Amino acid sequence: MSDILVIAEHRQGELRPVSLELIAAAKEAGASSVTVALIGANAADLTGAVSVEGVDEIVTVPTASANFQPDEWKAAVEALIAARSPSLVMLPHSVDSWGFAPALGATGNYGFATDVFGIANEGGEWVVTRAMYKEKVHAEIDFPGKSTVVVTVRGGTWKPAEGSSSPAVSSLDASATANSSHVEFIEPPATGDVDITQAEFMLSIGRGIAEEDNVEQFSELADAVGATLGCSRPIADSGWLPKSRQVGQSGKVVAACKLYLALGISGSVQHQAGMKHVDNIIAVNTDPEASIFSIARYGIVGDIFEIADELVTHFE
Amino acid sequence: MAESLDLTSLIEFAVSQGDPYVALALHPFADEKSRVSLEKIIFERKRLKLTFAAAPYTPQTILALLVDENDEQLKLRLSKNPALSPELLAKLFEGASPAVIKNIAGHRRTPVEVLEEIEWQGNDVLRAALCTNSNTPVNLLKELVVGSSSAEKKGIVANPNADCELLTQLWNEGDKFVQGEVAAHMACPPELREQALQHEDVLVRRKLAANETLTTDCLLLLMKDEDPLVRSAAIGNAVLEDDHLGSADDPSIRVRRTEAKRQDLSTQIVDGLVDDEDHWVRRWVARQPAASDSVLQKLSQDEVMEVRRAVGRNRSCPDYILERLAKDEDSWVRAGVALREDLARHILVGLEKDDDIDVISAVGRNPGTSEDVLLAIAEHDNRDVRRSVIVNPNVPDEALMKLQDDPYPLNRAILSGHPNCLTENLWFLLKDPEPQVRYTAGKALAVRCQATA
Amino acid sequence: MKILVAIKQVANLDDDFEIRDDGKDVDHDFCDYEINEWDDYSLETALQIRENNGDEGEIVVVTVGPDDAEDELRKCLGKGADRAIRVWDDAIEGSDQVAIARILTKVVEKEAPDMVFMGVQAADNAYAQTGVAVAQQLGWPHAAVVNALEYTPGASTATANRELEGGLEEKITVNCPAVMTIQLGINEPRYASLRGIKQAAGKPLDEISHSDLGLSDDEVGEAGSVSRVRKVFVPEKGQAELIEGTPAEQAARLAEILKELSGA
Repeated sequence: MSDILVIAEHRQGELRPVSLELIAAAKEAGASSVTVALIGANAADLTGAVSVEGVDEIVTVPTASANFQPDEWKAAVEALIAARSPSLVMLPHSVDSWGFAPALGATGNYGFATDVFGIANEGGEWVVTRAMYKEKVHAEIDFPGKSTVVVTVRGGTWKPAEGSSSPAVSSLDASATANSSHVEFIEPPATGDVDITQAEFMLSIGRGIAEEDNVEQFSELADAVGATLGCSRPIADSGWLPKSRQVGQSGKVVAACKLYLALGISGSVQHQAGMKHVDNIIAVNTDPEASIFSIARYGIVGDIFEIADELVTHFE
Repeated sequence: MAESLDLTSLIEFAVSQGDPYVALALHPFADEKSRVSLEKIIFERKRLKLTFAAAPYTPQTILALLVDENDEQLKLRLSKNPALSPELLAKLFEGASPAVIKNIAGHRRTPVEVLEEIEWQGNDVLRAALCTNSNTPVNLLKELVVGSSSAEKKGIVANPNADCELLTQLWNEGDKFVQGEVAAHMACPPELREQALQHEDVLVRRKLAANETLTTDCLLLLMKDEDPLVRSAAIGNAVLEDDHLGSADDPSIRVRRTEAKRQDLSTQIVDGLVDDEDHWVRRWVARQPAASDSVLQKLSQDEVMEVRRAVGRNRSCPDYILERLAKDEDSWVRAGVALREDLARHILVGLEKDDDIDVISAVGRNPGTSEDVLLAIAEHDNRDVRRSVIVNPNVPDEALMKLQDDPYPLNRAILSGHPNCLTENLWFLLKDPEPQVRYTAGKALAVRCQATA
Repeated sequence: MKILVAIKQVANLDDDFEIRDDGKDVDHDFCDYEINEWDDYSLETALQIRENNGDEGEIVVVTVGPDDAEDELRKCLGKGADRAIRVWDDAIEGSDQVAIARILTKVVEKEAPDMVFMGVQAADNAYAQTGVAVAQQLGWPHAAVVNALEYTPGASTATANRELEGGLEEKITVNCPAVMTIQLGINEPRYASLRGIKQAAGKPLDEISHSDLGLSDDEVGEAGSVSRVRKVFVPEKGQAELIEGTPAEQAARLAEILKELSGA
């Protein structure tokens, strides 16, 4: 038996795309049937959005709140497990899941693992893979003696399921006492170009730029590539760039950043505190052992001046 | 503990504390007998041995002892340690495992004799490491180039040791990127320069134009190239003399910016660029040493803040302009003025009252700042502002005494590593909670002991 | 008023390391340890609440971990926590987060604080699990990924902002007492003054075992867990993909990547 239950996630009336990745993951894991659950007061409106290839059944669980509420969601998933006895339950490894999935694990009734990016079934037993030690090691996890396993699945691992299907749709009741309530959503402030905490694309310079007059060259480069200029502590300490541009523990956290180009930054612990969360870090440094490379997605071992001179020719 | 400069009492202190970081700092300064007691502390924990083997701050005396240990994990870390001396790399090479040899082959300090001994034939990893090592001698490069891959050619061509013969082979066998690097190479032979000049690919022509061994005639041809990137590379070439410059009328901002970036422009050329519509050009013009007072005067009223800042950073900027910039509406312009060590006292006085953190930090570094202002800055609420006074050559002792127990560890780390740090501070910092601070303080004290002995 | 802050000592693994003989973990000789970054923020949250409460109230820090973890508790005491508890014994080795939560739950029951703060996740293994698991076992209200908090000790509700994906935030009200997992950036964590560090040496630090908390052997360790690490291994490729070639070629590839990732 390998029936898989996928808990779809939605926010502000829209299905979150990671839900479709989970459906694809369920199929790939060899599910004999895939049930997608839609939890929330108006979640039934999303039936069409999850009727994609590979979905056998949709169960809606109407709750009191339209938005995510952890007590309601936990009760809903428990009711779903009781009704369908899936062998595997998949949730996205997302902020909302962090808010309630561990409560399911802590009941002791199910196997439980988070941030999973590999799922296999070995002779009827689920074995999942996740990372440990800041991604330097991967671990295989199993769940001895558990007939239902609940996992949160890392986003961006599977391609979203596409196509269409006509799954059976039914509804299930679950009651819960909510211990918290939604007040409002607060939209992020509009991106300004000097507030580095709001910048999506940062180009940061470090000690490697050597002289104050060289700041202009990288400032021009940042302008050309459309990035906000940031720096590491020694640059701000020398008075070569304002402290408002300093990234790191004693400076700022680049909270909204999605792309970070680090030029001549070795990657001290202090600097990393401000930027290591960024998904796409690209580092250029002459020292192949610079610690910035251990958190980078792409690296260039080379001279930042040469790379900067060349790079600017591609952005006219 | 007496705050004296006496190596014996310093070593006694380290031994009594059992602190491996202070012991590490003192080791090179100690006599043989004391070294033994320090080593007991330094090598007590396996974990710290591994840390010290990898750390660039570890003294060679300790690295030498670690090289002698028969431990693969230590050797791996030592072979990646950028501070390992050529002698120790040679020693590490004897009987090394393949993983360690790979690191030695790529290490920037590996001596030529060791590189020549590495058996790279049939081993792609070692071959690649040797191709990119800038110490690899030309005879070895010529062996490596035979049957080399495209990626390996790119490593070899970046090697400053490559000669005409090797470059010719690389030109004939390589792609446009390799040809570009050959054209840019100091040792590029004349016949290849001719070919590069006529090359259909812009990349090769602009790489040639950046070659600082070109003749002026060749550069003048490149300055007429139809491609602005080629003209830009040529006009940035240091070989060009002033009478060949003057790109104010070039339609490409790339060319004008590159010219403005040169720091050797004559007053006449500067005058030609001062009204450029591109503010990047004006920013660089404002930094020109040869900019006249009238140019600086004009640019000091530029609408772009960074242009005004650049004027304030120009060494030739006269006081009457600085006086005005010190009152600029933009704090970053004022901070640039406050950073000038040559700033007239009467201008600095005005900036001492500023409340912007960039200006205060610049005032904190300025040797002309009055003592009471420096003391106030050492107690500023902002932890990044406080440390600015550490690097001030005229910092009062009282400010340093306050900073030695600053709650922000980075400020103590910077204090411990700066020549301004008082001997009294250093003794205090030997007991700091941060290992880095204790190490730096120990080393600084040992150096001072040695200097007074 | 009493606030309990649970912390974790996290491991920093060297680039060169070895896996333990049983294949289930790395050899800990290759790890450095430090406090979990998130815990600095949860402790600061507690310290600020006390400051705004006229410096009234007790702050207790707790960790489940071996001897070395005492260093981190001392640092918290140095910043202003009053008391520390470290739970450890051999039977706890091999516990997953559910078993760890069970231990912490017992500590909370014993201490009966008004509020529990924990980090959203730990920097090393990023389970993002323990705080909400403790709330479940306590039967307490909870909120995860809190990046702003309004709470007056004694109040029956608190208002919290949760940091959602893409910079969006959700404001919620939560019944108290509650467990909150605290996100980076909620405040600016302080550093311990040297005087504070000296005073910390004299503050109480209790060391207790699972049986002191009334837990049986099969409620901790592997037996008390709902998951088990079967083996660990080194993933095939490291994180950074090196861009090779001449500088011109590297820059050309970099330009492509930047254009793609910045959506330009």
